[in-house]
Amino acid sequence: MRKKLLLSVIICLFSVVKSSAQYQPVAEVFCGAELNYADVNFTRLYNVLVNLTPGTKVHLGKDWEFAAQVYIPIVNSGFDSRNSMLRLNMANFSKVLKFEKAHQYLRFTAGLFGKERYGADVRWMYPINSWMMVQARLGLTNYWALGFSVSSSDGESVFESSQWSFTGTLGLNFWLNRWKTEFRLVGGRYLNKDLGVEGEAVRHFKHCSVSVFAQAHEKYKNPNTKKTSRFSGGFRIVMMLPPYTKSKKSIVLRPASNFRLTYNAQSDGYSMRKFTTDPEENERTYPIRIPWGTGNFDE
Amino acid sequence: MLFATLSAQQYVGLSGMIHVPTADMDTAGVARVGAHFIPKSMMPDRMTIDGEKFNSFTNYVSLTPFRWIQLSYGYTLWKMHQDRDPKKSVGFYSKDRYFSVKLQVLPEGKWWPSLAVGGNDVWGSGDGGASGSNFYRNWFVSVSKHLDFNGHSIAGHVTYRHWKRDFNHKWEGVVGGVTYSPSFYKPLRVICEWDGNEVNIGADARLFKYVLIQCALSDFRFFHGGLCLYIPLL
Repeated sequence: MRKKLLLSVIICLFSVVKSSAQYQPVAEVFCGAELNYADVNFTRLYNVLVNLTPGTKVHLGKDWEFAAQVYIPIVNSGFDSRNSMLRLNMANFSKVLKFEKAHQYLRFTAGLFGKERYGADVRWMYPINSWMMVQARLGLTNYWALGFSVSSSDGESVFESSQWSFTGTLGLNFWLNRWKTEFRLVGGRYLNKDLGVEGEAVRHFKHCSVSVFAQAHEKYKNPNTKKTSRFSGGFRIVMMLPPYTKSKKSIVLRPASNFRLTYNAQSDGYSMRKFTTDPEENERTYPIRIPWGTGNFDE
Repeated sequence: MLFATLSAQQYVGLSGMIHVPTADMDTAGVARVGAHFIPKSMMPDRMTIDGEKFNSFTNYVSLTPFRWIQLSYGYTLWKMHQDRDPKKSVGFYSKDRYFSVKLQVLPEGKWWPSLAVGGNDVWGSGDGGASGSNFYRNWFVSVSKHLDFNGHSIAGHVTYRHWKRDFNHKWEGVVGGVTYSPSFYKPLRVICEWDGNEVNIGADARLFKYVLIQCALSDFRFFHGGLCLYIPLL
């Protein structure tokens, strides 16, 4: 039954692609790098995992978009060996709906997501005024993994069908235009069915955003460090990469839009996990381009 | 302002002199990413390998999001036997991490100095962590005043510093120094400071707009220096 449902969703999405053939598709092909690091062993500086992250976004017209990304592992020092596989990270379709008079903005995404989840995701943004916005996110997802090793016969192909999980968050954003600073408060249910709340202060610069955040979540014992924690905090840096101007070509080849780094003091790899739906998802740019706050800096 | 562009790098990523923090701040929006060589004379006495102190390096990233606040994250490389096995090789297999913060509560005026409060290693696992550290934990209050003589800039800096760990108490109390920037080369700054235990001399300069270099002698004997990218984000 679920397979039929999934099939019908895919057929429906492809029919939309076909019907939008009168619009000139614009494809963006890009590549960036992802740095993962973990400080879980006192006698080791860091475990490091570096992936190349080539991806594409195909704009199908009428705010429809197809996005896909693969991970090409470059360095794996200390992370699980399955991270050394060439991997499909995501492949999904999304549709943005804008009700500008009512200040309602929605983004629906379906398909394969990052952090090894597939299913459907909805994001809602409601700018109440020039300095306050309500936003929410709902997801129904399940586990998937698709990867193979270049150097050996190892591989994995998993589509879990019985472990569907609801995730949902609700948040408030406050924009202080004079200081180009944003305060965010968001809480809800995360990927491992855990509850948590996060506060973040973001200082936006011309091509960079830096934030500090604090998290409170359900108690969890980290199997690596044997520590049990309920609170965490850290900082994030999102650096936008040049070129900063939009190309008008039909097919654009470019570097990834950003490089991001998160430092999480008590990161346990479990609490408050979120999946990604955009190959270039980051904490600086909103999932929907809206005339509020930074306005995504037109990046 | 003149003095805002002359803040030197300190080994933890905050603006300051060599070992002594000052009330000077970076220009708002400046980020630093750098590395520093630390002579063993300036390393915490408890950070040892086979009972001996060692020379080390720090790495840091820091940001001045607003004119009045500076934040830094960094770590000092820790030399030890691989897997803490005395039979295995010695190398920089570990590190001690720390956060630092500085708030300038009073900007400098014509008749009064700037005033800043802050701390190094202000947040961490402390005694309960694997390293049992707080090796760098200290709190300080600083005042800085700059005077201009025909384009030459001379500044005096006085800091009161309290260290948490007993083995760092040799640097406790009132410390300070003098800095000088010549009129013919403003990016250069010459430093002489008393850190509570030694007199350190050195100089730093911003080269090619984005590179900050510092070279110093701790106690007139031990080299101390570093290099950082000085990135204006605004």
